[in-house]
Amino acid sequence: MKALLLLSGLGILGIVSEILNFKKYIYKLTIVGLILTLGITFLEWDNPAPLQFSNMVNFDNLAISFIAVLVVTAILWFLTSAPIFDDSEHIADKTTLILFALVGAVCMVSYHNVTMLFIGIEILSICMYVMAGSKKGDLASNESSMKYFLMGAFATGFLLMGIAFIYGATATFDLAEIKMYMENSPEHLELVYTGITLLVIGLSFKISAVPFHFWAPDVYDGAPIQVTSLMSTIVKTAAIAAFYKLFTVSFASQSIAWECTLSYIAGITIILGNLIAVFQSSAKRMLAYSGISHAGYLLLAILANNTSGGNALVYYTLAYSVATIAAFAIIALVLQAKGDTNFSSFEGLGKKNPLLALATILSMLSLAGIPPFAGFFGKYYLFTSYLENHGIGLVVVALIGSAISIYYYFRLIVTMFKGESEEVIPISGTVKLVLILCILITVALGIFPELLNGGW
Amino acid sequence: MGTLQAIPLNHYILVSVILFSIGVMGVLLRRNAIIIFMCIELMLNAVNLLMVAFSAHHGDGSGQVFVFFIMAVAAAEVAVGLSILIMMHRNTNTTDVGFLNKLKF
Repeated sequence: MKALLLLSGLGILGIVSEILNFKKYIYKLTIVGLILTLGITFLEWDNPAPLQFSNMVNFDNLAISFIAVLVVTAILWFLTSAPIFDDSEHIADKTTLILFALVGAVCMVSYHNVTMLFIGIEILSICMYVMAGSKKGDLASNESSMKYFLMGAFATGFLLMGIAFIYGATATFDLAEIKMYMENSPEHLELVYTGITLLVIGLSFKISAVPFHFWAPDVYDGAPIQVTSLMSTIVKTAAIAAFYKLFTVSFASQSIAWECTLSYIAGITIILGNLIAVFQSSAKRMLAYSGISHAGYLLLAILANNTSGGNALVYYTLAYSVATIAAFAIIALVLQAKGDTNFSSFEGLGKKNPLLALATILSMLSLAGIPPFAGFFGKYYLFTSYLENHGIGLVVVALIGSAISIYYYFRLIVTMFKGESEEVIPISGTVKLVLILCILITVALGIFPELLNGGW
Repeated sequence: MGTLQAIPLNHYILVSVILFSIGVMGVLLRRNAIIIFMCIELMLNAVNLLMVAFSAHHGDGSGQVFVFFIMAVAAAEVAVGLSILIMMHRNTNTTDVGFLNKLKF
């Protein structure tokens, strides 16, 4: 709960800094504040009274783990994204928007009432619509923000209709009460099933699962690269955590209504996301499609419908976020130096910029799920949690998907060691620090997977 | 509550679902961004109507409180959406979403 208050306070501080004219310090203040938030979050571990604010939020250990993942990602993101805070005119606005987006994400991982879910999604989304369009003169950025807004609002409509139907059947918004209703042979099954289906559609839009993914590549491609990095880490983590919580807490006993649909969505997402990523010529767009396929893997945790699914989700989102932040930081540097993000711009990087090359290799190997890096154990935990009470079918599909993904992740690595490049890309100290941190986290999580999966 | 009971709940559900479907079709078929906004609003209003009807039916206030949240958020969303639209209009001189084709596979 303190994390929520502290982040909101930081956001308000961002607005005040514009009025009281200390906005040039706000970037540093934010980073210090986020580190403080991370510490305070852990103080609430094993909280004896997790339900707070009249049962609106539930800060149990799972929620705290997700908050920690989000805040760590946010810290790494802020350190790599100094370029978008360079223009001093809008620095306070952008910082505030990102911080409020983080508040929305925290609401989404810790809600105990569907109202909070809706408010969290909207706080997060509205901030992100603005951030996606933050390059005002750039047509691609305009288009990205417009598409994101239209699709996001459309999906919210479905989500709300789903909530309305569930409310019609249960007469409550409280997750525990909905769970109780679902377990005691519900009377209005027609309302429940319609509601669950609409919720699946709405939330699949938010996590960009196939067939509701079509907005994602365009939005990710058009937005400024730092914002893309944020969208494919924090937004995705929060959305999948919200999805997991709603379905495994409230609708677990009615899994007959969503299990089959969600299995197909997961399977198609994994295969299609990976297949289309193979044919991309731009690294940014390739990562967008790879993000779609990762949403498919993450759905396995929801289908697993047990607590080890939640643990696997925390582990996987951390591994995925860290690797993605590193990958996008590198692509941003290449974009700055060479002017585009096509694969050919990466040629010769291996010889001239060994640190960049090393970070790319490790993050790509981790995303592809090659042992002994974090991504491998993420996938391993996801698959084992799914296999606890399901057949092998979907895991085989996921493994085929991973095999396809190795092709395009390795293509980037191979390109780096091909050809010659005359210039050395300059790296700022903080980005260097972040890359080294990302490398350390990826390797440490891979070598000591028990660090995070100690069972709670 | 008495006057509401005169109209069965099913009718409310039916009207809401029809309104919602009109909104969805509008979003999918129309090409003008402003009309698409209006259709999204129609979807949200269908939800509001349904929430209020269920709330009165159950005699539980939380549904009506939720409607206030939806209205507030819809207002915020329109504020952001219209500013995005103005930004797009400045650069392209149109509100037709057909012009959003710079980013392609």
